[in-house]
Amino acid sequence: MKERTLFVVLGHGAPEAFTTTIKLWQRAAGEGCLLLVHGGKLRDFEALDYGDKVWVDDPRLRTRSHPVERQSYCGAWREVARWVESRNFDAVYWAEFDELPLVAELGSRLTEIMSLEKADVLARRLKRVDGTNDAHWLYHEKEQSFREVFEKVSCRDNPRIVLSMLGTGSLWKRKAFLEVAEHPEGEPCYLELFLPTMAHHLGYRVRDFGEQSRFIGFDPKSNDELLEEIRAGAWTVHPVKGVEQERFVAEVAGL
Amino acid sequence: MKEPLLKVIKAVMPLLLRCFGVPIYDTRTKEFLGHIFVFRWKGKLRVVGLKQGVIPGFIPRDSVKYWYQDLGFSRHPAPDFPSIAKKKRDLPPESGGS
Repeated sequence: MKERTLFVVLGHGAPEAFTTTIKLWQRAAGEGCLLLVHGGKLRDFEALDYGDKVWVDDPRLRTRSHPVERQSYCGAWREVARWVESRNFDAVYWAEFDELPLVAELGSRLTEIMSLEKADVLARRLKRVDGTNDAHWLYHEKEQSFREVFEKVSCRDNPRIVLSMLGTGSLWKRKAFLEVAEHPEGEPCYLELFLPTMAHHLGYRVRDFGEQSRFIGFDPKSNDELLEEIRAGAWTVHPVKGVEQERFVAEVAGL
Repeated sequence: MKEPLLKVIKAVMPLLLRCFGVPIYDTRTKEFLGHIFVFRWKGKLRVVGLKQGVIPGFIPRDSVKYWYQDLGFSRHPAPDFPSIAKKKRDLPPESGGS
C-alpha cells in the first residue's frame, strides 16, 4: 500500500503571504496531505482561508535571533502530533514557509530515499557536531543540562553524540515524529540540535537527504541562483524570500 | 561605526585567508578543509576561518618526540547509526536505557 506523507508548513505571516505557498504545497503533497502551522498572530491565523491548520501560541517559537535565543519547535511539534494522532499518515515532512516545492508527488520521492537509506528520519545538512568547532554546539555544551536531556533517554552506547540539521525540510516516520514530540526539551535547546539528537538517542536512524540537501541552504539566493537549482533537479528550494521571489519560483515551476 | 567595519572585514577576510592563511587538511581523510588564521588569545588559541565542523586533536606519531607535537583537524564521518528503536522497545523496562 502506498505510504501517506503529511506535509507540514510552518509560517507566521499575514494570510496573503500563504497564497503561493498553499498552491505549490498542495500540488506537491496531494489532496488532504497539507497542514499549515501558524505561529504568528491569532487574527492572521483565523483569517487564513485553509481548512487544515493549527495555531501555535509559543514564545519559544517566536524568537528573533534563533540560535542565540535557542528557538524551539517543541510547542509546534506537540500541536501537530495531536493533530496527526487521529489520522492515518505514515510519515511527516516538516517545512518552513520559505521552502517551496517544485515537483508533484513529492511524498513518494522522499519516502523512496527514506527506504533506500533505511532511515527513520531524513534531514538536510545533517552532521555530527559534538567535540567540534560548531558554533551552536559550543554555545550549548557549556551547560550540563544540555547533555542531561539526552543522557536520560539515550539507548545508544555513546550518549554524548550530538547531531545537527537545518530546521526546514526534514522527513519523519510517524513513530519517530510522535515520540520526539512527546519529549520536552527541558532547558532551552536550539531546534537544529535538539530534534535530530533526540531522535538519535531514542534509537531512530537519522540520515541526510544526500543529493537533494544541497538545494536547501541558509544564505539568501538570487532568482538566477534559484533558477539554476531548479534546472539542476531540485525537488524543493530554500530560502525563497518575499512574495516576488515566491511568484518567480511558482512561475518557473509551472504553476 | 562598528557594523560597517565588520562588513569590510567580512568582505576582505576570504581574500586574506586565501593569501596568508594556513592551509589545513583532514588528518583522517587528507581532504582539504580550507585556510585558517591562528592567533594567541588570553592564554588560548583563537582560530579564524574554519568553515566546517572539525575536531581538533594531537596527531598520533610513529616516533617519540618530547619537544613538539602536531595539532590537526578532522571531521566526523557522516552520521550513519543503525536504527535500534524497535530493539529498544522489545527490551524489558529495566534494561531499556542502557
